[in-house]
Amino acid sequence: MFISVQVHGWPENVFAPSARPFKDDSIVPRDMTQRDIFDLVDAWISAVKRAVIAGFDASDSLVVDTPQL
Amino acid sequence: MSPVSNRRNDSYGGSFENRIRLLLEITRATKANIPSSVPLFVRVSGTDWLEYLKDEPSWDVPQTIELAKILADEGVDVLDVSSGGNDPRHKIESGPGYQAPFALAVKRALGDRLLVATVGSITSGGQANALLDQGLDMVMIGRTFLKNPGLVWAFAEDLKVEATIPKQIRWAFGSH
Repeated sequence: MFISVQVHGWPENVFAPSARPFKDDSIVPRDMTQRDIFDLVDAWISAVKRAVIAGFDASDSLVVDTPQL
Repeated sequence: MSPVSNRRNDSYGGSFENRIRLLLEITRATKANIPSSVPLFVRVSGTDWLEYLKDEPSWDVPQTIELAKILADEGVDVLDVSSGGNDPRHKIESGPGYQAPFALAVKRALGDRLLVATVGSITSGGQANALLDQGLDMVMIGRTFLKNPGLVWAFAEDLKVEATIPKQIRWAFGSH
Protein backbone atom coordinates (compact mmCIF):
# COMPACT_ATOMS: atom_id res chain seq x y z
CA MET A 1 0.00 0.00 0.00
CA PHE A 2 1.26 3.48 -0.81
CA ILE A 3 -0.23 6.95 -1.16
CA SER A 4 -0.97 7.53 -4.84
CA VAL A 5 -0.49 10.72 -6.84
CA GLN A 6 -4.28 11.12 -6.92
CA VAL A 7 -4.27 11.78 -3.17
CA HIS A 8 -1.10 13.88 -3.27
CA GLY A 9 1.45 11.14 -2.61
CA TRP A 10 4.84 11.03 -4.34
CA PRO A 11 5.44 7.37 -5.30
CA GLU A 12 7.77 8.40 -8.15
CA ASN A 13 9.97 10.41 -5.80
CA VAL A 14 10.76 8.14 -2.83
CA PHE A 15 14.41 8.12 -1.76
CA ALA A 16 16.24 5.15 -0.23
CA PRO A 17 19.82 3.93 0.26
CA SER A 18 19.32 1.45 -2.58
CA ALA A 19 16.68 0.99 -5.27
CA ARG A 20 15.06 -2.00 -3.60
CA PRO A 21 11.30 -2.31 -3.08
CA PHE A 22 10.15 -3.40 0.41
CA LYS A 23 8.10 -6.20 -1.16
CA ASP A 24 7.85 -7.33 -4.79
CA ASP A 25 4.67 -5.29 -5.27
CA SER A 26 5.95 -2.20 -3.42
CA ILE A 27 7.11 0.89 -5.24
CA VAL A 28 10.77 0.98 -6.26
CA PRO A 29 12.54 3.87 -4.51
CA ARG A 30 15.38 5.90 -6.01
CA ASP A 31 18.81 5.21 -4.63
CA MET A 32 20.17 8.48 -3.28
CA THR A 33 23.16 10.09 -4.95
CA GLN A 34 25.85 11.64 -2.75
CA ARG A 35 24.36 15.00 -3.75
CA ASP A 36 20.96 13.83 -2.45
CA ILE A 37 22.62 12.88 0.84
CA PHE A 38 24.30 16.29 1.18
CA ASP A 39 20.94 17.96 0.41
CA LEU A 40 19.28 15.79 3.07
CA VAL A 41 21.82 16.83 5.71
CA ASP A 42 21.38 20.51 4.74
CA ALA A 43 17.59 20.18 4.96
CA TRP A 44 17.98 18.42 8.32
CA ILE A 45 20.06 21.31 9.68
CA SER A 46 17.40 23.78 8.50
CA ALA A 47 14.74 21.71 10.26
CA VAL A 48 16.79 21.63 13.49
CA LYS A 49 17.13 25.42 13.38
CA ARG A 50 13.36 25.83 12.88
CA ALA A 51 12.69 23.45 15.77
CA VAL A 52 14.97 25.47 18.06
CA ILE A 53 13.23 28.73 17.02
CA ALA A 54 9.85 27.08 17.61
CA GLY A 55 10.97 26.30 21.16
CA PHE A 56 10.87 22.50 21.30
CA ASP A 57 12.32 21.01 24.50
CA ALA A 58 14.14 18.01 22.94
CA SER A 59 15.20 16.69 19.54
CA ASP A 60 14.62 13.01 18.65
CA SER A 61 16.47 12.03 15.47
CA LEU A 62 14.95 9.10 13.59
CA VAL A 63 17.35 7.97 10.88
CA VAL A 64 16.42 4.31 10.64
CA ASP A 65 15.14 2.83 7.42
CA THR A 66 11.43 3.50 7.23
CA PRO A 67 9.19 0.62 6.19
CA GLN A 68 7.39 1.02 2.88
CA LEU A 69 4.19 -0.89 3.48
CA MET B 1 22.32 1.38 8.60
CA SER B 2 21.00 -2.06 7.76
CA PRO B 3 22.90 -4.05 5.14
CA VAL B 4 19.53 -5.54 4.16
CA SER B 5 18.24 -2.31 2.65
CA ASN B 6 21.56 -0.50 2.17
CA ARG B 7 23.45 -2.14 -0.71
CA ARG B 8 25.51 0.93 -1.57
CA ASN B 9 29.12 0.63 -2.59
CA ASP B 10 30.12 4.22 -1.87
CA SER B 11 31.20 5.72 1.46
CA TYR B 12 27.64 5.34 2.84
CA GLY B 13 27.37 1.56 2.41
CA GLY B 14 29.22 -1.67 2.99
CA SER B 15 31.20 -1.57 6.23
CA PHE B 16 29.64 -0.77 9.62
CA GLU B 17 31.48 2.56 9.65
CA ASN B 18 30.05 3.48 6.25
CA ARG B 19 26.50 2.38 7.09
CA ILE B 20 26.38 4.56 10.21
CA ARG B 21 27.99 7.54 8.45
CA LEU B 22 24.75 9.38 7.61
CA LEU B 23 23.48 9.04 11.19
CA LEU B 24 26.77 10.39 12.55
CA GLU B 25 26.70 13.33 10.13
CA ILE B 26 23.15 14.15 11.16
CA THR B 27 23.92 13.67 14.85
CA ARG B 28 26.87 16.07 14.69
CA ALA B 29 24.90 18.60 12.64
CA THR B 30 22.01 18.43 15.10
CA LYS B 31 24.26 18.69 18.16
CA ALA B 32 26.00 21.72 16.64
CA ASN B 33 22.71 23.53 16.07
CA ILE B 34 20.82 23.01 19.34
CA PRO B 35 21.46 24.82 22.64
CA SER B 36 23.33 22.75 25.24
CA SER B 37 20.13 22.83 27.34
CA VAL B 38 18.23 20.81 24.70
CA PRO B 39 18.70 17.04 25.08
CA LEU B 40 19.42 15.06 21.93
CA PHE B 41 17.58 11.76 21.48
CA VAL B 42 18.30 9.24 18.72
CA ARG B 43 15.82 6.52 17.83
CA VAL B 44 17.23 3.36 16.30
CA SER B 45 16.15 -0.11 15.37
CA GLY B 46 17.69 -2.65 17.76
CA THR B 47 17.40 -5.46 15.22
CA ASP B 48 15.95 -6.29 11.79
CA TRP B 49 14.66 -9.61 13.30
CA LEU B 50 16.51 -11.42 10.51
CA GLU B 51 19.21 -13.19 12.55
CA TYR B 52 17.68 -16.52 11.46
CA LEU B 53 18.95 -15.83 7.92
CA LYS B 54 22.41 -17.12 8.76
CA ASP B 55 23.97 -16.28 5.39
CA GLU B 56 22.57 -12.78 5.04
CA PRO B 57 23.98 -9.87 7.04
CA SER B 58 21.37 -7.75 8.83
CA TRP B 59 21.18 -5.14 11.59
CA ASP B 60 21.34 -6.71 15.06
CA VAL B 61 21.89 -6.03 18.77
CA PRO B 62 25.72 -6.21 18.75
CA GLN B 63 25.82 -3.50 16.05
CA THR B 64 23.29 -1.44 18.02
CA ILE B 65 25.59 -1.62 21.06
CA GLU B 66 28.63 -0.56 19.00
CA LEU B 67 26.60 2.32 17.58
CA ALA B 68 25.42 3.32 21.07
CA LYS B 69 29.03 3.64 22.27
CA ILE B 70 29.84 5.94 19.35
CA LEU B 71 26.68 8.02 19.86
CA ALA B 72 27.46 8.40 23.57
CA ASP B 73 30.87 9.79 22.61
CA GLU B 74 29.15 12.19 20.19
CA GLY B 75 27.10 13.66 23.03
CA VAL B 76 23.76 11.95 22.40
CA ASP B 77 21.73 12.03 25.63
CA VAL B 78 19.09 9.36 25.01
CA LEU B 79 18.98 6.29 22.78
CA ASP B 80 15.44 5.19 22.00
CA VAL B 81 15.48 1.53 20.88
CA SER B 82 12.75 0.23 18.57
CA SER B 83 13.04 -2.62 16.03
CA GLY B 84 11.98 -4.23 12.77
CA GLY B 85 9.90 -2.98 9.85
CA ASN B 86 12.76 -3.02 7.38
CA ASP B 87 12.18 -6.31 5.54
CA PRO B 88 9.01 -8.38 5.15
CA ARG B 89 10.94 -11.55 6.07
CA HIS B 90 11.40 -10.29 9.64
CA LYS B 91 10.23 -12.72 12.32
CA ILE B 92 8.98 -10.40 15.03
CA GLU B 93 8.22 -12.00 18.37
CA SER B 94 5.53 -9.58 19.46
CA GLY B 95 4.04 -9.21 22.94
CA PRO B 96 4.03 -6.86 25.94
CA GLY B 97 7.25 -4.84 26.00
CA TYR B 98 8.66 -7.06 23.25
CA GLN B 99 11.43 -4.61 22.31
CA ALA B 100 12.65 -4.07 25.89
CA PRO B 101 15.34 -6.81 25.67
CA PHE B 102 17.17 -4.77 22.99
CA ALA B 103 17.11 -1.63 25.14
CA LEU B 104 18.24 -3.63 28.19
CA ALA B 105 21.16 -5.11 26.24
CA VAL B 106 22.29 -1.59 25.31
CA LYS B 107 21.83 -0.35 28.89
CA ARG B 108 23.88 -3.23 30.31
CA ALA B 109 26.70 -2.51 27.83
CA LEU B 110 26.66 1.28 28.19
CA GLY B 111 25.83 1.82 31.87
CA ASP B 112 25.70 5.52 32.73
CA ARG B 113 27.28 6.67 29.45
CA LEU B 114 23.83 7.11 27.88
CA LEU B 115 20.18 7.10 28.92
CA VAL B 116 18.29 4.27 27.22
CA ALA B 117 14.58 4.21 26.39
CA THR B 118 12.33 1.35 25.37
CA VAL B 119 9.16 1.49 23.27
CA GLY B 120 6.55 -0.95 21.98
CA SER B 121 3.40 -2.56 23.42
CA ILE B 122 3.63 -0.82 26.78
CA THR B 123 0.04 -0.39 27.88
CA SER B 124 -0.13 0.07 31.66
CA GLY B 125 1.54 2.11 34.36
CA GLY B 126 2.58 -1.02 36.23
CA GLN B 127 4.23 -2.50 33.15
CA ALA B 128 6.05 0.77 32.42
CA ASN B 129 7.30 0.97 36.01
CA ALA B 130 8.50 -2.64 35.91
CA LEU B 131 10.64 -1.83 32.85
CA LEU B 132 12.21 1.09 34.72
CA ASP B 133 12.82 -1.21 37.70
CA GLN B 134 14.79 -3.50 35.36
CA GLY B 135 17.25 -0.67 34.81
CA LEU B 136 15.92 1.23 31.79
CA ASP B 137 15.89 5.01 32.01
CA MET B 138 12.76 5.89 30.04
CA VAL B 139 9.64 4.35 28.55
CA MET B 140 8.34 5.84 25.30
CA ILE B 141 4.71 5.41 24.25
CA GLY B 142 3.34 5.74 20.73
CA ARG B 143 0.38 3.61 19.70
CA THR B 144 -1.06 3.41 23.21
CA PHE B 145 -1.47 7.20 23.13
CA LEU B 146 -3.29 6.95 19.80
CA LYS B 147 -5.83 4.70 21.51
CA ASN B 148 -6.04 6.78 24.69
CA PRO B 149 -4.95 10.43 24.59
CA GLY B 150 -5.61 10.51 28.35
CA LEU B 151 -2.91 7.93 28.94
CA VAL B 152 -0.83 9.94 31.42
CA TRP B 153 -3.88 10.13 33.66
CA ALA B 154 -4.65 6.42 33.17
CA PHE B 155 -1.05 5.43 34.07
CA ALA B 156 -1.19 7.72 37.12
CA GLU B 157 -4.35 5.94 38.28
CA ASP B 158 -2.67 2.53 37.66
CA LEU B 159 0.18 3.65 39.90
CA LYS B 160 -2.04 5.48 42.42
CA VAL B 161 -0.15 8.73 41.97
CA GLU B 162 -1.36 12.25 41.19
CA ALA B 163 -0.97 13.61 37.67
CA THR B 164 -1.32 17.30 36.88
CA ILE B 165 -4.54 17.63 34.87
CA PRO B 166 -5.72 20.91 33.33
CA LYS B 167 -8.10 22.58 35.78
CA GLN B 168 -10.90 22.91 33.22
CA ILE B 169 -10.93 19.10 32.89
CA ARG B 170 -10.02 18.15 36.45
CA TRP B 171 -12.88 20.13 38.03
CA ALA B 172 -15.42 17.80 36.43
CA PHE B 173 -13.97 14.88 38.41
CA GLY B 174 -14.07 16.47 41.87
CA SER B 175 -12.04 18.87 43.96
CA HIS B 176 -8.32 18.18 43.49
